[in-house]
Amino acid sequence: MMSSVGESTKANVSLNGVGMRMMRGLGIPVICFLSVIGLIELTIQEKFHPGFWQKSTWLTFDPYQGATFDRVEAFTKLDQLTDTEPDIISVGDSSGFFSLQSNIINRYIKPYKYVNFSTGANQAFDGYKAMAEYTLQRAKHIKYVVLYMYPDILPLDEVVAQGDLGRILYADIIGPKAYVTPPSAGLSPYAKFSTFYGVPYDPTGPLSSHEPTLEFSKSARTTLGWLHEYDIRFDRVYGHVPFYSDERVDWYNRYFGDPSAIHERLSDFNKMVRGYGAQLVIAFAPLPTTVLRAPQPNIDPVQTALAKFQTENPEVKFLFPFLTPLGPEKFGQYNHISLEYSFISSARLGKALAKLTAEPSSIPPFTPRPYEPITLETPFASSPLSPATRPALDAAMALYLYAATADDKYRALISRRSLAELDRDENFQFQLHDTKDRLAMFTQDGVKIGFDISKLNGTPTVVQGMPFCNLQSDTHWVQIAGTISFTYSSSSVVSAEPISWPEASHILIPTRIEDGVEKFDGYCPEPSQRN
Amino acid sequence: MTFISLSYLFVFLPIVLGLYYVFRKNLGANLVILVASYIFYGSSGLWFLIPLVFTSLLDFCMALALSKTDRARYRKLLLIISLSANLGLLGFFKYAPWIILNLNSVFAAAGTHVVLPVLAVTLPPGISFYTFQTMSYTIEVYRREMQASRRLIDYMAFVTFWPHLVAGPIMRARNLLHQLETVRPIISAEDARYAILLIAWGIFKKSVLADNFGNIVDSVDRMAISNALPAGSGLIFAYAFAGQIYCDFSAYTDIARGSAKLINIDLMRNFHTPYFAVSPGDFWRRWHISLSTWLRDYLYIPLGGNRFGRWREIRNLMITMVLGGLWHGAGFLFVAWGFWHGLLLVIYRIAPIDRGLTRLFGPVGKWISIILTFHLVCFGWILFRSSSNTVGPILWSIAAMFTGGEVPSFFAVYDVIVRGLLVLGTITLLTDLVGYWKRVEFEDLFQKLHPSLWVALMALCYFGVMLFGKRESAQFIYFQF
Repeated sequence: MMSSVGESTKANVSLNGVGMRMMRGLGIPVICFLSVIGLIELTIQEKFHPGFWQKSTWLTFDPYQGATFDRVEAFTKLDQLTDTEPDIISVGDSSGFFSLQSNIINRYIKPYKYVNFSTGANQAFDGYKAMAEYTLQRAKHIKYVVLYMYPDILPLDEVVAQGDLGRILYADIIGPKAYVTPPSAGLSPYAKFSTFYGVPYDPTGPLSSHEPTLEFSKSARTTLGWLHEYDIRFDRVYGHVPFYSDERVDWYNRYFGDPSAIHERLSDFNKMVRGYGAQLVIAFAPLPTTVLRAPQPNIDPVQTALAKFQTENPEVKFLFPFLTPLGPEKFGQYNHISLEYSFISSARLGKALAKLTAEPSSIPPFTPRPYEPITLETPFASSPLSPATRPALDAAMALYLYAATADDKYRALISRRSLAELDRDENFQFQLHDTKDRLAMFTQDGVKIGFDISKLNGTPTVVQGMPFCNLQSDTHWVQIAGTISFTYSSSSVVSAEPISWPEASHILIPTRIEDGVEKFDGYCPEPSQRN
Repeated sequence: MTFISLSYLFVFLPIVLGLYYVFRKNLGANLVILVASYIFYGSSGLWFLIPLVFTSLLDFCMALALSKTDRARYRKLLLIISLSANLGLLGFFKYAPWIILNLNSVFAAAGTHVVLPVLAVTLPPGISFYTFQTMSYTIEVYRREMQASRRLIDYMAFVTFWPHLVAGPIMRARNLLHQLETVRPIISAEDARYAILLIAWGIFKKSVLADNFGNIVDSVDRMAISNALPAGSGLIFAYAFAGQIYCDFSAYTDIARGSAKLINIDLMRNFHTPYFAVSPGDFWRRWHISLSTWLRDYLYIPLGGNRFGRWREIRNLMITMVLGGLWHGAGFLFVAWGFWHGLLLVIYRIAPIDRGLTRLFGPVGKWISIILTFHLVCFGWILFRSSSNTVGPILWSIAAMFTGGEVPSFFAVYDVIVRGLLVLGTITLLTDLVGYWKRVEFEDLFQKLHPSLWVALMALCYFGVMLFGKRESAQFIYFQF
């Protein structure tokens, strides 16, 4: 039997007596407390009218660390682009963020409008869902939601486990927290700045001094969500990324849940999209051929899971086959198309969306294609021919800088063959115009964007076994390595972001001598450009 | 699930309290506690429940068997089984991966090709706490200091009791189990106000003080990683971490004690103005009291304590503190931290500096002792918090203050860090100073608070968190132990 300490006296007290005492001793103080904070919260709401993003805890306003790029990027897209009246949006990993120029895509899909809401893989998969759902709640006539994913960054358990920011984003903007965060949270940056910095908070000021953050915050509305790639941290010769498995990591899901992570998460995503009256479209980003040079045992099971999902959800459209290889020179990261080539990946999606919007039935259902590794005919070898020279660097960087600045001085350093190919491509021409317009916009706003290559080296190199569409006896190779600095300067902020382009990335650019001048000759059109 | 989450405060706690008070007068009350504790703990990983249930059941059975026999050898065997199983569990999850990693490094350095398989196991949260707790239960039954519990539900509720499961206080069975075995009266309104304010104050301390102190620590840590520490910044690191770990751990204890109090269960105090200690010995009487008393009662005293001469006393102190360091984590710096505190205790036993200072300078000497002890403790915190990559630069940056490093330039450049440290440090110091003067913990003052003052303090905590709290609170430091 349980003993009953204190019960003998308490038993005599009537429930009413206890209830009254609790009411007086606890109930009234609690009501007073709630009234006090309620009154203050109401006053704050009435006086300051803090908006959704001011109250949201997504932007951390950490006095000791600027807002991280991932957070600002998602915030900027949701804050600046939801009112742009999109008909089609894309969400997904950074293969979309850095590789899909909305303005190029929109050339193909008139009168529809596409806007890029893709973010980063650390927001997989809840973050993509949050981006889509937040936008669907606010932009009422979205017809298609494109889930644009790199083929290895699918909604798999191992990928999702790394997507820590995704869960936070979902909780902050879609979950209950998004609705219960009180108005006083909106005053937090003001309180923190004056206390920790001793200066008043400026809500119009930059959220960070990080160059890509500054550039994107300024240009997001013009580019409709696209930002150029900064890195070349991907080994363009040996770069290999193993594909993740669809198997469940958690024993509970393995034995009692859905055995396929892809199936479970895509079904859930599709249900959400349909709930808002839109249609889910899945598109896989292109990937570098180097990734496909090794056995990838997880590719076939993943395709089988996707096919199962397609069978059960025939309304979902898959725009591309699972694997679309592109030359490795087109990539900055293994999943990011490099700045100068992003017109190719953008046009690829634009054309597919045009087909979808014009004749949806013409899109065939997803069918697995058995994976076969690509074999390299000659083993790769390289060695420096002479010390680095400036003309070699200028030639090797010509296309990159021409695409980045639209400045004709770089055009003069591109070979006739490459220029002829590029001039034939309307999308490249459009990209140049678009870049010019964007830079003019920056200038008008007193902002100067710069690309400092003074710390890059261009080393003439002897190369074997590097596939190239125009290999000639007089083809030269230049290896680029060092640090490129991206700069942003305005009246209020000056920022430089040095990015290392390491030697290990094997950034090898073919050049040739024309009219006595060393010129870039590395442009090779992709088969998808001909369609 | 963490204490600083909407799901804990506004879903878990109200539901558990509601169910608890429905079943308060019968066995269902402890069943509610048990199920709630399993949900609380299992929500971060269902498999974490396996070692928890294993160790609870094992010690329940061992204690029952102990209570049924008087045969000394058999009793000893049962105790050894219990201790081996608990320490084995701790060793497997906490120390085996570290030991294997270091052995592999030794083998590699010796040029052998032996590579032991690395154990990739996640450390179940709070395993150091609950294994120590179940061990203390078996030891107490073995020593006949208490009767073995015959009710499995009550016993399991004692081990898993959610408020203290993950980061203590490490409760003795005779205190907590006894409370769980009785029907507890409905909490009084005054106690309920006290409990709620404890929780609110804990949230304030965690979110506003500990996490912002943590930001300062992380800032200096980042500079140390990039080897760009100006002279003096190591001192900022030490002060900020002293604030962070104290506010973080005591905040957890406050929320734990407040949550337990709501079902009329008293958890022991774990802190008592520790940074006002006059000596290292005094510090350990005020810091993590439940661990230091555990180590004293189950390790230091059984080793012989101070009963067999000075050298045995020194040995026992060093063993206790080094093992205490290792209890916190598998790492050489934790061992060094334990060694440092052992050394301090030994030095103060041989030469009681605090008494000397007080004798020489009176009350001023006492304050000098407090300041000296605080700095000795801070040096230990550097070992506790830093990594093998950062400990050198951090210590060097302190040494540079005395060898011509430009300290003022640091204060100018990192004004925001120093300003933050001053703001947060002042709040921490002032509240503790009030407690020190009143010879209680600051939180104890909440007990007899007038309702109007209660409303004001609650509102202060609420707006403090809203305006100054870190927007995404970091995990409690002691969860990892």
